[in-house]
Amino acid sequence: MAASNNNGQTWTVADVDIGTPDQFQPWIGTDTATNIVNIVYYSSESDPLQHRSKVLLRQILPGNSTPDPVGTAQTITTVGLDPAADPFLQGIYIGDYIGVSARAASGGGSRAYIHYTHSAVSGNYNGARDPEQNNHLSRFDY
Amino acid sequence: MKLKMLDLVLILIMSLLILHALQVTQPEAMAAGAGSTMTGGGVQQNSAAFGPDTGITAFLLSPQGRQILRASNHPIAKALLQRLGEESQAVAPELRPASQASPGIDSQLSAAAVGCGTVTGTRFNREPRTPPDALPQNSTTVDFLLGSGLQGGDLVVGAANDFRGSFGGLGDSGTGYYVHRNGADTNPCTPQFEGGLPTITDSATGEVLRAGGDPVIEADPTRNAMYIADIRMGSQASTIALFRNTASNLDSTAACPDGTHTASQARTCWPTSVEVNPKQDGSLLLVPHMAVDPRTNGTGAGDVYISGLIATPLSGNQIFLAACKNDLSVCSIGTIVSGADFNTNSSHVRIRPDIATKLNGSVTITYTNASEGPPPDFLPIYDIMYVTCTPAGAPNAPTCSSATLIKSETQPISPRGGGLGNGSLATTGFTFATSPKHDHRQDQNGVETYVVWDRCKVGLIAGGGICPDADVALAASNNNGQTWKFGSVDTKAGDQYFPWIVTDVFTNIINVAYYSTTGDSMNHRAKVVLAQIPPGPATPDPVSTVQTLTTTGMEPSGDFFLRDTFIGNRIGVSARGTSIGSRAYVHYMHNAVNGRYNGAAAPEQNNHLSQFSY
Repeated sequence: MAASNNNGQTWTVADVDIGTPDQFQPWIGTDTATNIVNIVYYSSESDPLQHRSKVLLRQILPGNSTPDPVGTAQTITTVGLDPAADPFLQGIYIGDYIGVSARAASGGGSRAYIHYTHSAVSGNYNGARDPEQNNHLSRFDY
Repeated sequence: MKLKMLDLVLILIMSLLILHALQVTQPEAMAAGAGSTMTGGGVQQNSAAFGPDTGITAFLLSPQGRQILRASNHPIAKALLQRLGEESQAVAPELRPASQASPGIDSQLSAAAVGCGTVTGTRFNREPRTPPDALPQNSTTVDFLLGSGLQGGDLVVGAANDFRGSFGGLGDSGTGYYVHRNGADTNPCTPQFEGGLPTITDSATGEVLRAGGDPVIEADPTRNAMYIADIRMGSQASTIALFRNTASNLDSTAACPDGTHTASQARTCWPTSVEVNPKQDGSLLLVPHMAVDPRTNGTGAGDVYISGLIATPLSGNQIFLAACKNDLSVCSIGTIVSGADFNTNSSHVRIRPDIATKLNGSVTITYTNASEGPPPDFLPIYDIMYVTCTPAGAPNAPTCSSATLIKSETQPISPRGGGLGNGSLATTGFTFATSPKHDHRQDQNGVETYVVWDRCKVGLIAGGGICPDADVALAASNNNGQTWKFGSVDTKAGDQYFPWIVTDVFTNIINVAYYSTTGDSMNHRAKVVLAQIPPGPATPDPVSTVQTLTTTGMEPSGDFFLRDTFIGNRIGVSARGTSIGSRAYVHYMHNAVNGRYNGAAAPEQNNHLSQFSY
């Protein structure tokens, strides 16, 4: 990531996640009530075969530096997406982004909704079950 | 905004492609060239089928495989491109720099546990972990000679497609061999040496033919010998190469030193070879299989039988059988055993255990003949065929019966593939085809014949290209194929595929090894399992408990080079025993061991070996 406090005249470069092996498709959204920056992305870090990606969320709290430090990763899905697990797309396309939106809740606190592709729910094909890509939604309260 | 518009256009294009795939009535790209024409509501087999529907050549002829051909300077790549009407680009391969650093074998190999490891077996090659050498091995085969290694260990010989040979490594050989011989090693699956099978010279044209992969191995315990056959093709000639070795030579550290052999060392280690059924007429000889007659006397005693596919432009694909003398001094011509079938593949040859007393029909072959069903989907149909042959003693060709039908499989695994990844299974991008294998065993019912093959549990989807759930089917006969009874080896949820079958002739236990995704919620990662069928009163006898040989599944997409377009077309198993017990060795592709690419670790295909004692 890069951060600027002068509307892009200068930038300070840092990292959100440089763990091994693959982090990809990051999306960023600021909760304007708390000014907490939310970043979601896929990560295959916990898969020894580097193929199945969990959805992670990291937050950057307001602070006195630019950029402020990135918080610990929250695991949104404990089961990884298998990018090959769809009978029609078969690993060639999983979309190119996931979504996140974070806002203050009326009863206090904030919540982030994360919208992403996952293949945990099977379809039924001539009576046989096989995973397929679906859009899934998770909510993270903070 | 422009990017989002591009995404929208891409999705629209993809949607149209999916609709096309779902609605397609005339498959345009059958890898087998299984074209057919409709006549009066029936299907007339087109005699112009050319090329295999499985194996390394089928993959290299696919759109993905052609990219490898174009990037390779290997003579076989040039020959295949020439046959496709393309000129080789003669581009120097980018994978291999001038400096060929060859770091030693990784510590993970030597650290494997006794028994070869239950998680992913043991990597059965000595390939360096970094480019340009960290390249795939697949389509594995194995056999062994009990106690014929050094210090009383088993002499285990594996072979596989080895892509190092396509990019300047392994003596430009596309067929790797891997040998365990050290009985003092705590890991009975560690390879002491490896190499690429040497070149041979076509006797008619003088053309030097390099190893092209799709190897098969057969041991001859009677003579303490080991055979490997593979495919060879050049611009003028095509043949099956057959190599013979002895246990004493393979155990010799002078003839076969430890380490990765140079081309010169490989030639010393494998000094004896012969061309089998060479052709110089534009046809290709592909996908061989092999059996050795264990007898020491009688007509054809000790002969080595080679079956395979002859792919001939205009004539189609036929199955041949040739016999060679045990010392490879001479071979017969290849006799066509597939009769009027012209879209054949996947031949598999075995010897009946009663050959000493019943010579007639003692050499047996299974193969497939593909056709298409009726419209609108022209779904693929694979006839699984059986042939019996009588030895005549090489160089005389055996005499064979007409092929008979075991089963017309209307739910085969289709090499058409489907979806946008073109995979044969719902959650994979690689294609393969139903391939029957068989073996015989003696029990209280006399000689039983068991045939196993990949079958789809349900109807194919996506125009007949995708199987949602693959199983391992089985047929058995106790009268040499006159009648068959049908069953299954494994029909559990998930995909079971690539079955290979072999009989432990000491115990008459049948061993069937295959991949299974059962237990993987994403139906994608396949463990290697071993099913056994002990002798019993029925035909077929029931399958006993299935043993899991690798607790971690193989990830079909886990290779930077092949991705998930090709994982080979088989795994290998051999089982032999004595009065103190039996062992099965299973040789398969796994990607648990990482390569290192610019310092980053990533999985890659390797040949692995597991041992199962019983």
